[in-house]
Amino acid sequence: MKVALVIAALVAGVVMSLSLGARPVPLADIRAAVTAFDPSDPNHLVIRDLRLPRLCAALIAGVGLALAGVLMQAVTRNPLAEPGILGVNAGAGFAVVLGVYALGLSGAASWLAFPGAALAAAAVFLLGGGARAGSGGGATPARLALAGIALNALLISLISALVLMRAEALDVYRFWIVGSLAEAQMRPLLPMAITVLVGVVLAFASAPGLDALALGDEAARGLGTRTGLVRATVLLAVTLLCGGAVVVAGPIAFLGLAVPHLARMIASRSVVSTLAVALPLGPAILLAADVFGRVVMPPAELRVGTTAAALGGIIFILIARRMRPGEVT
Amino acid sequence: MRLQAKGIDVAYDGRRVIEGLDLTIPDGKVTAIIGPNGCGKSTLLKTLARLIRPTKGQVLLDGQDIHAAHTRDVARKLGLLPQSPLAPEGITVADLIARGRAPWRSLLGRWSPADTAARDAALAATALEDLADRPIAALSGGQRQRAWIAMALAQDTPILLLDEPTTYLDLPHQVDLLRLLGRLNREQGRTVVSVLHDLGLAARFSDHVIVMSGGKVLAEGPPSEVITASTLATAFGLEAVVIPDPIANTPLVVPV
Ligand SMILES: Nc1ncnc2c1ncn2[C@@H]1O[C@H](COP(=O)(O)OP(=O)(O)OP(=O)(O)O)[C@@H](O)[C@H]1O
Ligand SMILES: [Mg+2]
Repeated sequence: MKVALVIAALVAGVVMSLSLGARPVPLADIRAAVTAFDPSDPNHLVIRDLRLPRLCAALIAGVGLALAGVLMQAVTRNPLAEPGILGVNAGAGFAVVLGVYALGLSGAASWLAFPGAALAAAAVFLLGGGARAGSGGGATPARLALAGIALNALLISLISALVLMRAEALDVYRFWIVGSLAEAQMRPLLPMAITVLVGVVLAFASAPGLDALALGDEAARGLGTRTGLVRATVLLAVTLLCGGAVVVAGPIAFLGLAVPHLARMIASRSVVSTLAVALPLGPAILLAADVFGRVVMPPAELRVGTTAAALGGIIFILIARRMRPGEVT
Repeated sequence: MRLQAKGIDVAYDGRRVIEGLDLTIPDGKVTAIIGPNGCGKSTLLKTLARLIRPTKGQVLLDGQDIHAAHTRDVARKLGLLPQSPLAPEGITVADLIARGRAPWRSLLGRWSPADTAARDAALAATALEDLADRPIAALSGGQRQRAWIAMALAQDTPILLLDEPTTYLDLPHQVDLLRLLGRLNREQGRTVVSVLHDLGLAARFSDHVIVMSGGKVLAEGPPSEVITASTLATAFGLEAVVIPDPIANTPLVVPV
């Protein structure tokens, strides 16, 4: 029932994202643009060249960030873990910006997002106790959060420094600091869609292992879980999910934090069902944020990174208010 | 004998905790491990359950080095309840018990009728039916302990290793639990090994007692032969008189 609502919200988000904006396009034209494309019709051009790529980018980023949030919270056993706050997105962004501005790469720089995300995620996991298998090893939730936030701030400031040194278009800055879906048509959508898809498969494959890990390493291994393999799979999945999301939409924060909490309120306790709910919920919320940013003050546009952080923040405050002490969601 | 340790040394960060230990867990019996705090009981149990790799010697399960076996195969033969497990927040009793089925589930984790049967049997054995839908966080310490034991039962292994399963339980529940372990042993032929601190209960409810001290096995055998004033003095530095229990005639320890 609730899951049906989430899917309905996603469908509504898709339709609104295609039809609303500086140039509203009626539903019939959207269909025609796909089934019987007419290059002389400006509505068709808007749909095919701008709105469809933008929709795809939102789907890629929404899925990537939401699932990465679920995985990171599960593997660190920390309800505050999230790719935006803990610097994984910024790691991906920093690597790409470094490639473009310091090494002079162009299209190939996108792929640097993955080693960047992997290094930042590995740092988070090490701090989150992933490295030490013994009971009681690893970091306290506070230490993980503090170190992650510091890493994120550092990486964001490095990105600003690199981007602002060039003082080019403000759009570049908006994309790499805030996150944006404008100019989505210029991003490598197909390769990133495939990458994120692989990340989704890995996420679901690691879910039973994460359920066992939630009982502590010793109990998990007693239950036949290969804890090292589960962590390695999660690390790879987070890298692909966040890297893909950042390449198409920039380092969007808060979505990865709010969606897993919301999903757990809808889903049952297991990681599989949380992932299954987060999968449509992530892009639904990101699309809502993007549509809001487009219609709120036309013809100007609020970047999706701003509206998503605002929406995610509001959702998270509402969830946090409902939480009782000692409860995650 | 299915589970054996052969000349094992176990160390944490280079500090040896268990030294040259040889041990055979008697099949189809209830075994208690006793010994003072920090003598290496939990370490031994974890080593037997493959959670720690010995620096020397090996643990054999069905004649094979346990570290050469598949993780999942080991988990189908041998269940371990650690001394301090973590409950994921918000999880209910039934959910927790269901997680004990992990080694039996397929890659996609489809839930089967056998899983339901094992979960319900574990709920019934630990008298937790009425609390099945309660979050673990909303249970008393003793109820929580029973939920963990139910999870270990649901794993449905012929060998059960339990680290201090009676901690947090009141005396009637301790006795209930030890009787339950006895029933699992008699009716299903399971091999049960538990670390216990209550020497009287260990003597009363076990077929075999292993006394550890300083990372070594000091004595092992039937309770009446092992729990004596002289072993207690050596293992615990405890001066005590051992008298026969008036009900079961097993040794009863009375500190001096
Ligand atoms: N993860 C660890 N890292 C380092 N040392 C450890 C670790 N776990 C246990 N030890 C040390 O190993 C020794 C044996 O510990 P162990 O937990 O096996 O004792 P125990 O007999 O179970 O004690 P208790 O009755 O208190 O549970 C102790 O000196 C302990 O400090
Ligand atoms: Mg112990």
